[in-house]
Amino acid sequence: MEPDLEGELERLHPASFAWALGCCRRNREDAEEVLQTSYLKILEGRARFGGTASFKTFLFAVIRRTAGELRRRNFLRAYRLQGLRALESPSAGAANPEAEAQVAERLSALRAALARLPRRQREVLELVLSHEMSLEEAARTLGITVGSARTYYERAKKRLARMLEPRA
Amino acid sequence: MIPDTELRRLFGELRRTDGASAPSFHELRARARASDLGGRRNRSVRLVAALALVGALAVALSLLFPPRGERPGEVVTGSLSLSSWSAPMDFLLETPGRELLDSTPRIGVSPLEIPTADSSKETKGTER
Repeated sequence: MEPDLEGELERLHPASFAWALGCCRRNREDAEEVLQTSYLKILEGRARFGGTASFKTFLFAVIRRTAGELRRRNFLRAYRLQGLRALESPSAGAANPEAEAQVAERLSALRAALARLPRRQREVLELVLSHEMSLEEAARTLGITVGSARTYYERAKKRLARMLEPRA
Repeated sequence: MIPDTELRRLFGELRRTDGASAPSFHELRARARASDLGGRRNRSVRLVAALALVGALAVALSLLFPPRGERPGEVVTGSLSLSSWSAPMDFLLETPGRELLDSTPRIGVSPLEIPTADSSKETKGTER
């Protein structure tokens, strides 16, 4: 087991969990399962970091692939799809409860809007806007061309903006 | 239209919220290790069960259909039937008067009364 690899995984852990949540339609239980399987794959050498891209790109690609495998498995065991767990809200100190409630409301609107986007569009948008990846990195993570990633990104941004606009 | 900066801010907030609710890295690693051990144990149990099933099936099949080489009775019967084989048209060689050809002709004796080993004694007796 390489200590560097483990340290790198630990450093990226919060971002990885956020990405895993995005890949699992915000199902916390599935996200945890995906993340622990991804860590195992990497630490046991079943998924090898080639060094051609950044470690974050590699890790996010592994998480996405693992989430896809879990999705297929869950599709076969349809009963497991029942009962999506509600996302636990973080218990950070509430300095301004009113402002926090507003943020929570906007975030839940964002989550709802994201859920209505096609998967590829949602993934590109999350990688670029949430995880601060470039379009090239996002394309590499998703295994698509930069041109496709750009198209998905533009379409997703327009659709999301339309969905989040306050209705008159 | 929502500006890009606002979208980025919202997404940043989303990532922070999601990241903050992440389970501890070490706890997840420990769980992964435990589930891997359990998975390996399950895999080996399944492998052993599959091997046992295949073995039982092989034994059952060998009992039901023993290999040909292990049936001595059948081999002997086969070789016997080969040694006693005769052509289906063999009876055509059994011509009438064939016994004439099997014996030596003698002067003064009718060829139709050629004596066999037993009957020649009788003939000699009567002549006397």
